[in-house]
Amino acid sequence: MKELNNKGFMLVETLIVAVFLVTIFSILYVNFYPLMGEYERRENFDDLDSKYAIYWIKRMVQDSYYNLDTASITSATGNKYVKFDCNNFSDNNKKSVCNETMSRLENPEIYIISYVTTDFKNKIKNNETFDVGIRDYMSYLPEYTIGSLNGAQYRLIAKLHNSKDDNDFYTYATIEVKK
Amino acid sequence: MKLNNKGMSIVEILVCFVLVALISVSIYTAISSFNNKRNIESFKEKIYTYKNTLTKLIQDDLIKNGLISADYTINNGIYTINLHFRDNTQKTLVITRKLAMDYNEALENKSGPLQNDEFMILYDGIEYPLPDLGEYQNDRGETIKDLRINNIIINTDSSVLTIYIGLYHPDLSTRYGINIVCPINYF
Repeated sequence: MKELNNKGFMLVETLIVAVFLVTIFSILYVNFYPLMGEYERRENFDDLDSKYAIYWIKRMVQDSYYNLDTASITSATGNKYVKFDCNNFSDNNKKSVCNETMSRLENPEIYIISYVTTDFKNKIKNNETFDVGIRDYMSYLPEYTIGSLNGAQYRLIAKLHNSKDDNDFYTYATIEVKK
Repeated sequence: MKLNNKGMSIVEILVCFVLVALISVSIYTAISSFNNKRNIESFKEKIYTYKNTLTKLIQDDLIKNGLISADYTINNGIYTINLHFRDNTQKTLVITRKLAMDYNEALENKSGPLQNDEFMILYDGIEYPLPDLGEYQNDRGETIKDLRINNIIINTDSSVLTIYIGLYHPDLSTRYGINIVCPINYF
């Protein structure tokens, strides 16, 4: 009868299989692990509280007493954004309500950009004068190239600080604006 | 026929046992940490749903009905906020926050009336009890809920309404809360 092959595996064969397995698991880990961080980061993107907060700022931008410097946002040579500022209200009562609202919202940073986000995305992509949080959020947002169904020309981008109850984190939100 | 009947040596068996033990321990640790994470995610989801439901209800009224004024009273752990709308309707938000003593307080005050944790949010006549995420008892036998209303801030000054209801859970700390800011009489 034929003699059985009972030599077992050679060291080289075992090493090849081990290296192969390590490579597969490394690839899986490298691709899977960032998704966890992404998921945790997105908890702070467009959450309900930020959406309602930015809604009230949108109402202020839409106010007829709020002067919006549209040239800076839309012209080819412009800055591609303006920051929301309560001093742009020509009515003192509205300015005062605006200041109080901003203070209660813990003084968020609000950028007014064009509806299509491409220009602003390109502007801040590798620009370190903008912090990582807002750059991350902008890279997460789509470009909205199809255009607004409501005829909105502008978009607000908000970075909101949450510090109540010893918290210290930022949330981000966007909303379209028709003015 | 010549069979291989040498069997395994004690060293081989020991190495095998050690390997199996190592694999079992690492799998147990991974599963146990996954299970813990799953529980926390489930708590987070319940708190998120609760806070979003209430926030949406109140903010929708503020936006659609238009807030013209707001007033509030605080009495023995009960916060009552009246919201008056443009169409002459009124809705009331009642927050009940009565706290049992924590462990250290309970150790120092063995006597006195007992008070279990009692939390309830009532909006427009409908009760919204906090999600039940577990409870335990202090040395006095008072019930302490795992999910508590940690902090309440109400402010109606300077034509802006703020309602903040901070929630606390041992695994999630104070990360989640109901946070409403709305200008008054702003149309």
